[in-house]
Amino acid sequence: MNENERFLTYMKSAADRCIETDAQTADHIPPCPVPTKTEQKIRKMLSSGVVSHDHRYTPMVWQKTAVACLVVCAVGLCIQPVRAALVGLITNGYDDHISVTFAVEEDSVYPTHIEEHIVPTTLPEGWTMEELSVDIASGVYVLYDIEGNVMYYEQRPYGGETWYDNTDITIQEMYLSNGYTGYLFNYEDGTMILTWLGKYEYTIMGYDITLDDLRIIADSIVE
Amino acid sequence: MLPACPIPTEMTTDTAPIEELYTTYAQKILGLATHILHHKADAEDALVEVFIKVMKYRDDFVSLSRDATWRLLVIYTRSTCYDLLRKRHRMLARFVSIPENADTAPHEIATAEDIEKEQLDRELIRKIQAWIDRLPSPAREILLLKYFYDMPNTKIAQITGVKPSTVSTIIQRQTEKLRNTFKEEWK
Repeated sequence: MNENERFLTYMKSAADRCIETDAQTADHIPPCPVPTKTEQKIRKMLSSGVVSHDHRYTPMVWQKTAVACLVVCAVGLCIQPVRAALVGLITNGYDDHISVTFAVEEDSVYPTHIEEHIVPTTLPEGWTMEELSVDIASGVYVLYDIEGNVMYYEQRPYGGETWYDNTDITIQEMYLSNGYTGYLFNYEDGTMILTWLGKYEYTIMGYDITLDDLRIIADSIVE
Repeated sequence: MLPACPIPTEMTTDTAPIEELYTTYAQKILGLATHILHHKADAEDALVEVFIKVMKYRDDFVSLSRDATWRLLVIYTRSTCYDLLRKRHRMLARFVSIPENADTAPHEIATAEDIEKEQLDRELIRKIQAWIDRLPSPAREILLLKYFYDMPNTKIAQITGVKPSTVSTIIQRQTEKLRNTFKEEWK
């Protein structure tokens, strides 16, 4: 067996195990009864063979995104990565996404699992936070206000690269009062993502939110 | 609302097997989607999307065992859910839990004559599995579809909701990284 065949064999075996694990994990999740309306819709689709993509979400954000995508396409697509120079953050831009990696010292050691869930101690006025998913791999929380604005906050172990949509995006450094340097991904459609690396990686994102609100939350996330 | 689009005739013949798949697995798929998305209505959307994909790639499900069918449906469901998260949150989802049994003993693999070599092989497979498990979505699902199901990139793109060019880039970059990570061990 040559090196390439060996690689493919190992990949197939490892992928097999990943899928098996996923299936076993999924097997332990309790089934949910399908609501009658959804069931009727799917059965009709299956028997007629006609697909209807009537998503509940047709927000203006997608119209904006479509326009933004056209602008980006007009400017030109880049297949080769474009490396941006931001101290502490390595970004590689591709045709429709960018990969982002925090630059860390080679001998730095970060926890592989979350040992302590760290949440914001202060929320902007009128905002409430709820836990979405908390385990040793990540902590994900949703924040919302009375007007229906939503933000997400995630804490996860440092783990290499993260990918973001790169449509009409600007990235800037932001100094946080918790002592860390954050990176603000600002999209023209109003989406903002703030991420920084402390003992863990922290990310807050929201749509049509104010930078002040984002900062209040970030500043209160103290290790 | 997007207009309804008819599926080509060759895909619409004999719907009984897909309807049977729906009867057997719909509740389990909805359970999994709800677990990933934490949102009931989104999970129902995911269920619909999964069966649209199943209709399109119905041939993949022919003559699969029950276990193999479930495995393929799980990967369809995960891909669909993470695609929904990406589209709705503009942020590639990394809400993937580390499987509880990630460190359990490896499954049996093809027999190797040399016991010591076999142990080494198993260890390497376990390391690769852990490496793949740490990938964010959709890279993880893309690699699984590529290396286990040997799917063409265009099909992977349709299942995961990622552009074919991005699928190619991800496969190329992650494969290179993986090869480099374990470069001494391929030899």
